[in-house]
Amino acid sequence: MLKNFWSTFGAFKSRMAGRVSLLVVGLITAMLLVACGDSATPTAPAAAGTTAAAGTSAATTAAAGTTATTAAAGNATTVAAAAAAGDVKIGGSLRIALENDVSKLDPMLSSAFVERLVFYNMYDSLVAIDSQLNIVPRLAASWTQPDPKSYVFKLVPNVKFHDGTDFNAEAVKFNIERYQTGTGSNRKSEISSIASVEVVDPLTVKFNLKTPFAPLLANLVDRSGMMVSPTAVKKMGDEFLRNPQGAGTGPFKFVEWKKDDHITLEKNPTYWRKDAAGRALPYLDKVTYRIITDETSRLTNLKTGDVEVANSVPSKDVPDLRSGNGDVVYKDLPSVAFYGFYLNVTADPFKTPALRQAVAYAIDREAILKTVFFGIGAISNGPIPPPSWAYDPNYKPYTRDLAQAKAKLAEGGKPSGFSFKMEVSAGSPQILQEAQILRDQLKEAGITMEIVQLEFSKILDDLDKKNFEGGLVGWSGRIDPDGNMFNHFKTGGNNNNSGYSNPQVDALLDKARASADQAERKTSYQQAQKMINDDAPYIFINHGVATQATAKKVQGFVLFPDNIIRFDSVWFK
Amino acid sequence: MFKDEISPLSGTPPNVPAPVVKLISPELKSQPGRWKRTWSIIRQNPRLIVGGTFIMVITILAILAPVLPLPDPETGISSKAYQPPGNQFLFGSDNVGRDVFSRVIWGGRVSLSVGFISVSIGFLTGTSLGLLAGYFGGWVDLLISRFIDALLAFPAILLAISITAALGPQLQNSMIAIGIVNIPVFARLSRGQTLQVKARDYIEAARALGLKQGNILRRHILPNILSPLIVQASLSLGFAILAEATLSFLGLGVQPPTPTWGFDINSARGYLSNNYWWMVAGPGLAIMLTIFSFNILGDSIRDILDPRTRKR
Amino acid sequence: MGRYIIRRLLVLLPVLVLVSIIVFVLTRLTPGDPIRTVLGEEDNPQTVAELRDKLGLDQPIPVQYVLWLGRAVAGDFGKSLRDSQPVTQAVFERLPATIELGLAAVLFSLLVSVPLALISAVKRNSIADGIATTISLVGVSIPNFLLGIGLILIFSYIFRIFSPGGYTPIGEDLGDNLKRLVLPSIALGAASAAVNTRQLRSALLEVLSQDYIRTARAKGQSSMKVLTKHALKNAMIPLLTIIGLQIGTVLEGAFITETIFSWPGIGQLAVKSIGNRDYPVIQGVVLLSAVLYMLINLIVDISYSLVDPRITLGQSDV
Repeated sequence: MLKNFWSTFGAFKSRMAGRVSLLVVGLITAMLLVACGDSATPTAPAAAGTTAAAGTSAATTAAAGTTATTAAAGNATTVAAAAAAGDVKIGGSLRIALENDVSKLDPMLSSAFVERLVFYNMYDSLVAIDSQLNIVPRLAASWTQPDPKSYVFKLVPNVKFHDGTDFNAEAVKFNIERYQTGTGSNRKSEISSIASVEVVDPLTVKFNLKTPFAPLLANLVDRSGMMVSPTAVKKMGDEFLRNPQGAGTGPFKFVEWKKDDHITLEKNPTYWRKDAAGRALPYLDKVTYRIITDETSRLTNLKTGDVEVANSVPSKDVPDLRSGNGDVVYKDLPSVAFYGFYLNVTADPFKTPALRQAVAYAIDREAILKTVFFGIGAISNGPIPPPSWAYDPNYKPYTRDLAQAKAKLAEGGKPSGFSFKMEVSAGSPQILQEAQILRDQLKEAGITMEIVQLEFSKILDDLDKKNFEGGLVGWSGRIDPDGNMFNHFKTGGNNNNSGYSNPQVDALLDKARASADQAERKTSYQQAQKMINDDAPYIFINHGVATQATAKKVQGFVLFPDNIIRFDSVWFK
Repeated sequence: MFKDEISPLSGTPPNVPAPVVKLISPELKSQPGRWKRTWSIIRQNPRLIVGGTFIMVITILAILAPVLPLPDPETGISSKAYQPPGNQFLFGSDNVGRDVFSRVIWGGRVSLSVGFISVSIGFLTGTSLGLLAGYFGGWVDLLISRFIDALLAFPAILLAISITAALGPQLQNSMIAIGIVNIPVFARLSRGQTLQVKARDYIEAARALGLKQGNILRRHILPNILSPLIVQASLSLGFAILAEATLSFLGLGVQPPTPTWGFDINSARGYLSNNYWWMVAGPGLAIMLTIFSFNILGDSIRDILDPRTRKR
Repeated sequence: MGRYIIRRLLVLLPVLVLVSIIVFVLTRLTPGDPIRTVLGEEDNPQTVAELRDKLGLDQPIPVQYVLWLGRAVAGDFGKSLRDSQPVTQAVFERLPATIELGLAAVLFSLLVSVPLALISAVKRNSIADGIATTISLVGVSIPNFLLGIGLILIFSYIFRIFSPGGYTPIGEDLGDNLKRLVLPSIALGAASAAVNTRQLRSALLEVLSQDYIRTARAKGQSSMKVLTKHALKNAMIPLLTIIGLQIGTVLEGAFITETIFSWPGIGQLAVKSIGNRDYPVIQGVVLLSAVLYMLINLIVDISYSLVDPRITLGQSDV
């Protein structure tokens, strides 16, 4: 513990040579906030591809020990990069082009990725992640696990919601119970392992679990762990999802949401977190999310200086951005998302495993990555994404092999091929391009794929009812492998759209959930992944990227593999 | 009567011949030397020649597409995607590695067939409804007119989008949707014309002679209201092709990889920032030229049929 | 006149009911479960059932219709399934953006069409006429999505003069608002500019061929004077039609233009809510557009009689 503390100190010292006064302030802050120092991880965003084998460190470490493990890197972790740069400039309003409008600003009801981009800047969660996917403290300053079925969280003192009310153990209990029982709650399955929440004292809260549940902390990083003001919820009632006034504790306060146009957040002047140098966070005065659904428009707005940040940059424009055209900074990092398609294993033709494998062999993932994604991202070899601690870079189950594909067709009793319908989301040129290339590739193996363009909601409905043959639907990804696998491949899982059932996979997924040992979990997930690929209920194509596309004046931007943009440490040069 | 001038079709010139347009009288039809006159009219109308020629060319190309030496318009070679115009690809290649020129020609097949079929649906249904309403009047007229009013109350493109969304995105459904959207304009036009023709002496005479209603409608009224309807049909064709492109643009039209102009423009527009302009240029020019041709064709036919505007 | 207006308004009622039934049936026929759009990626059967019940979507369609109609008569069009914003609020919040874009488009089209029509009518069959006619024909022949894309390419992408999309409220930053208004209003106005030119031209020609104009000319008045003094005045009826029509055309074009330019108006709301199967919003927006459409037609008809007393409204076929 102490050793880690001093290594952190050393890091500061080397970076900030000479800035003694700042250093002292920083250290004091660190000592005050960090009850029990663990590891402060490297902070500079790594270049694409290099983080693949990261992991190993603190992620889910809480589970590693059985009784008194604690994680508590400095709250300064994510912002040390900014501090390293020395002076930061305070103030300025930032505009970000957002790919889609949000639909609900209540973490309980939220179901869209873009909403998380807004949430992370106005709400704080109990725990957070750093850019290496390690779990770090946030509203919970530290935690212990007295036994595998309980967690005790010590909360950060003196934190207030934007409406002025106190954040405390009662608020935690209120939020968790609301997520578990609220009408239309989308959080139920993520925290279903929690049996009860006990308020021990105003700053201590205990979660009693039904069964040991390793992914809990990872789930609490996202919406299930976001704390909103009970007073605000009660006051706003049905309006809350559209106008969450005063609800968060985060670096920015909600101001307004004008549907399909913009969302405005302004600086929380009394935000409780400080940067490594002891300066108040955040640095910016205001953040405006402009909804610009057209991808070309989004990028053009960035180039013309009408916005400073753009999310979801189309990969076709990356080569141009990389060449330094325009005043745009571009970086990317493999993300936790995976893309590919479901095959319905409950009906013909994909009832026959050999025919599913034939499809898996017929597909040329490299060609798709190159043509559709201009080489951005990575080939997917399973649900475990490259940034995960469970990822194995040497695992490559399928490469294109037309002879194998034809052999599998023969094995499946369709030596001259077969045909199936692929449901594809309407209106997105990129998805349709991918579908047409898939069609051409399968055609070479003698498999006829018919493209059916449908509204996304209709596809989800068909998947649910197993009323489909193939469905090109990806997954935005979760930071723990459980979030990418359990519901997708466990028998009867909510997202098990293929209707896949393999008792051995079920057992492995259950075992990994209950296990406290990360190495053991890794083995289980990798074994399950192999079986899933052998059975091929889902054909994996590629993993996405988290991207940074910003104006040159934007500083202190940290890329996270979850592709969510945090503005707490961003400032303007 | 003013409503007859109001086309429900966005972007379409609502210059449907107003009811003022004097109809070709039955006598004119039997005049000798009609063909000679027609020929001289055609010669005097360069627009007719230009529009007609282009439409003929694109129609012939579309019909002959299967026998022309064109590369496969549906299957591409992904390693050959994004090639600029040149030897291998006359108009360049698209994002799936297909020949843009081939897709433009094959796309014309889809656009033209949607145009002709949907206008036929609108023409036949609309004209029948209008005839009945105009001829019988009374509650038949009331019922039909209210129905047409209700259809007209929708912005046309919104109606087409809703119907296609409801029926499912398929070629025949786009035809049906665009056909339905075309009904009101033909119904209104034929109703107005029928009202006028009905009041003529020879119809009164036919009625007095006890001719069957069906006979009167078919033999005496229909031929006399046909010409403005034909002009409208030509203009509606332009609209129908545009509407099909819009539906495909929104992903509600024909399914890929079937080539259509609207879909190809939508696929291509994102690549303008990559300077892959040829992907949008091919289908874009094709659609513009086609609609342009139908419009000038309709214009010139109207000028010819309407003696007053012919020589002024 | 008063009786006429009342009669017309009364006739609107059954049409509106018919429209509402068509919309209702169309939305319910549309495949895709709205609950799924509400829940998105998340998927929990219990939550689905809860929401279906809460939103009343488990009832038979005729029952849903009657319930909806009952509330709609009282001015309550329900709430968006997606974000539970009241439909009336969603519509009125977006109305200013659409009205602004619409007015700008009408202005653009008048600025282009009136001079073009005058030139081509006066100098009939001249080269100028040919050019003006061709321009207007080309304008009619360009799909507005294609024009929108072209404008973005040229003015935002190559020359970086105008923003390629988005909206700034007038009150917030007038300059930025106008900067973002230019391209969409051209894209939206072009088609009606073309239509106007053609219509106004033929209306002017019609008037110019009348006997009294010939007389005026024979008396030696200059063509410009004849045009402005006699012809233009008499071409007012077509002009009124045009303005009435324009609002219709603009409303139509708005669906695509607003979508391409990320313009937060009624058109974008309609297209998005169809995509999202957001039943209450679709119903509200379509019904509102229908009412607007019909009212505009009525106003146009009434204004005819004001301009030209010879037209008696009583005989008009409604």
